[in-house]
Amino acid sequence: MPHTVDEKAEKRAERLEREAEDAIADGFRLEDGIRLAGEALATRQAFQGEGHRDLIWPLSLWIEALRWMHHADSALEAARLGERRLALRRVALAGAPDELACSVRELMDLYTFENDSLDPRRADELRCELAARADTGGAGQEV
Amino acid sequence: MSGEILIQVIDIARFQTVRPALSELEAVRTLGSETRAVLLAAAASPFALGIRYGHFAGLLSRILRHPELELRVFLTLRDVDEVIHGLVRVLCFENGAKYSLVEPVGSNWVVLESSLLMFMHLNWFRQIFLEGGSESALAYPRRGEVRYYVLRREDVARLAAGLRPLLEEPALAPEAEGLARLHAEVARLEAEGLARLAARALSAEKLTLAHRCLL
Repeated sequence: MPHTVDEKAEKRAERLEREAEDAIADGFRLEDGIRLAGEALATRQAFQGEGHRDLIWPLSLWIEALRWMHHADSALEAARLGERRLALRRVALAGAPDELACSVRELMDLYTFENDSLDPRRADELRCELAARADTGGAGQEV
Repeated sequence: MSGEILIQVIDIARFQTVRPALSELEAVRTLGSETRAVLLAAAASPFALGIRYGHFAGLLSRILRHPELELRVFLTLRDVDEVIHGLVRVLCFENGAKYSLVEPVGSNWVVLESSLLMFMHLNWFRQIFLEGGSESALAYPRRGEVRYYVLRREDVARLAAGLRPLLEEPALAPEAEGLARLHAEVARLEAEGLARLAARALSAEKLTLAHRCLL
């Protein structure tokens, strides 16, 4: 049984995340998945703060649900959340430049919807960052 | 039920051994040494590269390269589910769960399609394959499109016994001609393949049959 307020909040966030995972993977309850991931994110923000690495997972769930919706508006929202996720990953993955490069690549993908770029200028910036990382040996490709 | 049923041989004892690792992966936190050992075993398998054009092997490599990282920080839900499904395929199914929709019968699989209509009229077949319900569902992968169901060993024995008299008949439809005859021949191939799989599963205590719908 959780004793402190933080322990209770952690349990609640974990439960919401699990429910969001099931709703998203189900493929037919994406709206539920978005709502649950949003609640998990809000719960974690309230007790862990805006910059905690644990916020990455509910953001990833939210992004995944939005991507499955296959709408330009939801794709743009996913990219916006992806920016926030990348900001958190820059800190969490500071010691893993290969993974950080993967995250930059993921954000570039989020800016692509049906073969069109949702924000060509931002996509270029990310492409340049990826090239710079490759020059310094930090753009590990998935093998 | 309509469409096709894919049936494969699974090492259920191995599945129980790796199940704690699958649970740990699902928790998307940092992995312990035992789970990492399971991932290393899968990465060493020749079947790992065959899953989704090597994407599964790539994910294993990324996870193993960073033991200090929590999975939730750098993977997505789809990545995690793919790793869990890939581990089950590579480590628990014979031949990496390989199957083909072109060849209905292989060394470790059978796809029942032509024979399905005939089998669905048999009580024992329906009881074995349809009435197990959620209790017979394999615990992992538990999300996504693929859900496996496993037979109890007594059901595999019952399946083998049920198939025997069917296969002792000279042909499933000796009077048929043309397409109907071809259909009957494929149905017989499927039934023979299923009998071979059942015999294989009964040959070792750790083995049984797993099945899932393809359509």
